[in-house]
Amino acid sequence: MEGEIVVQRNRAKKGISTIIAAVFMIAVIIIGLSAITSGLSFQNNLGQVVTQRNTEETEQGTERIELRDVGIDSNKFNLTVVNTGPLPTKLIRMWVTNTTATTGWHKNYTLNDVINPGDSLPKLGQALSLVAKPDASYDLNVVTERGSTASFKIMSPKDTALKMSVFSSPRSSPPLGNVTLMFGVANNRTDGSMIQSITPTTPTISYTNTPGGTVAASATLIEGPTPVTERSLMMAETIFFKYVYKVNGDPKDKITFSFTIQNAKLGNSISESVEISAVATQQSVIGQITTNSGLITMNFTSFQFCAGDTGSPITCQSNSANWQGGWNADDDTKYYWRVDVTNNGVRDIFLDDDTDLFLLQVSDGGAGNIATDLYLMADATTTTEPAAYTSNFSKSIPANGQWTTLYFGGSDRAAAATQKIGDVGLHPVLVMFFGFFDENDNHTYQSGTDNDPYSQTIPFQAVITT
Amino acid sequence: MLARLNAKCTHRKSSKRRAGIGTVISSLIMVAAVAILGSVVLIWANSSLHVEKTKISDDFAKNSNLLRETFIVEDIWLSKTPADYVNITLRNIGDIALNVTSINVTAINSAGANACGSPSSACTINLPLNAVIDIKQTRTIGVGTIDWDCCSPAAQSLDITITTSRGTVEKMLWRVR
Repeated sequence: MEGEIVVQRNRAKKGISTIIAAVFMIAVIIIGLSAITSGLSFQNNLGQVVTQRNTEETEQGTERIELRDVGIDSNKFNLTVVNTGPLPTKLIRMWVTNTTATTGWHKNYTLNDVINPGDSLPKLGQALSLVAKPDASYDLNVVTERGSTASFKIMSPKDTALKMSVFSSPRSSPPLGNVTLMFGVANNRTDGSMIQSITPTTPTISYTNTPGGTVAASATLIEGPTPVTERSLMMAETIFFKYVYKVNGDPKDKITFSFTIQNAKLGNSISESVEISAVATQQSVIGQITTNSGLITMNFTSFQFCAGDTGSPITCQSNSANWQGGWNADDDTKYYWRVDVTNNGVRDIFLDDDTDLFLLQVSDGGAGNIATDLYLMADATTTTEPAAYTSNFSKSIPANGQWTTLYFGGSDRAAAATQKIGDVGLHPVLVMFFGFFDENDNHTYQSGTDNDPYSQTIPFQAVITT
Repeated sequence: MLARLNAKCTHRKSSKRRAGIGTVISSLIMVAAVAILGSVVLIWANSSLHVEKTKISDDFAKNSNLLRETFIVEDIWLSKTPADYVNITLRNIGDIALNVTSINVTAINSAGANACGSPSSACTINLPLNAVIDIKQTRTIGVGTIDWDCCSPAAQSLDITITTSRGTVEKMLWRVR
């Protein structure tokens, strides 16, 4: 019995130590867990801050703002900026430095503009109190809400010598010829500057007249400049302004065009000379060429005739298959005749109704010849036969190597009726041209001013009538 | 014989009783000592942990605030009125206010040396500040005078160091000409 009590006491002692140990263990575990939890919490919070900071820096680094266009409207900047980055961006500030001002001009303006990715923001600067001048250069710094900045340089032509070029076509022009001049201005800056307000001034023209000449050199603006102005030029961009001048003068006269732009840097200009060349349109030269070969040439293979009459059925439309070539014709048939001719001069020739096809019979046995005049007629169409040439000078042979088809057959000037050849035998055929040059160069005959005459005969066709 | 046996047994029992009391007492003492020592260790450990935790917490706050503190130099303008002043505009783009405690500007020449030839001359300035910039706000600080437009060879750039109270240090070179 007493032995049992001792055993129970030992058991009771073992229980207390276990409890105490357990309590300590629990306390240690709690403290340990607390430490671990705190550590993890700190780490987590720090991780969040680091992540947030990284995100902000990454986003800031991906912001890209580009200046695409610069203009000045109503004395205020009209800028177009584009968000080329992947995130929406908010512009909050713009710093402007007038780099032309020697005393220092530096201001800032508050912005509040959001640009979505890929979108552009036009008219930036129109709402600011900043007065922009086309003859001043500016440095712009745009600040975004994330803290990135985009810097742009806007230069006035006044502050930099721009690369200029000019091309004329042709470089050598006949009197009263048109010369096209292409005046190019390139942004040759390498610092990314944008050039603002490119507006060409009226070209300065100087003349060098050949001694002994009779016509003073002159240049008259026909067209241009096209375009009138260019708002801005990006880096490496070039703009061409087109001018068309009508030049006149004696051969070897020189006309020098000097181009520049408004607010250009002193000495920043370019010149191009055009020389007046001797051409067929000058009367003396025309005479010389006419003597040798004439301005008008004929396509002999195009010489055709068509058996038609002044009435129905209509058989000699312009596209009719009844037109025939060769040299065998019937002496008793009324024909329409046609041939293609080319004007190798530089001005149109309006044809007088005296223009005609002249056939001369070769008489056997030395007797006299019989001549037949077949006068110019108005053109056939795809639905009509040649008609009377009642509107004198309405038909022209276009200049510069162009060709046209002439129709003949009229029994008289401005006559609708055709006539037979009426005799049998060999016939040399000549075409006699009478007309006036298109002095006004407007492709329309103007009585009184288009009064420079021209005439020519082209032989070498032949017909045998049976 | 039986009596002798009983006497022996009684003597053994009495010896066992004396031995049990000692064990109990010693056990109690041991238990108490362990409990007291354990408690002391536990309290010390807990206290130490708390101190460490506070320290870590402070460090964390300091570091995370340092990380959150962000500003940019939005603009630098070399002023001629007043002469030889460098106007530095800072923008706080972080989400906590910051305090700029100093700005150091040194004009350096093309060789990277002090433009005036001596660090203590007019080409160096260390401006102590207490310029608080709130969140998303800007502040322009004029630093001068510093001879950025004289000297031979002329100053080519400004070496600018901006320090905040939390220890953020921003270093940059700004080209003068």
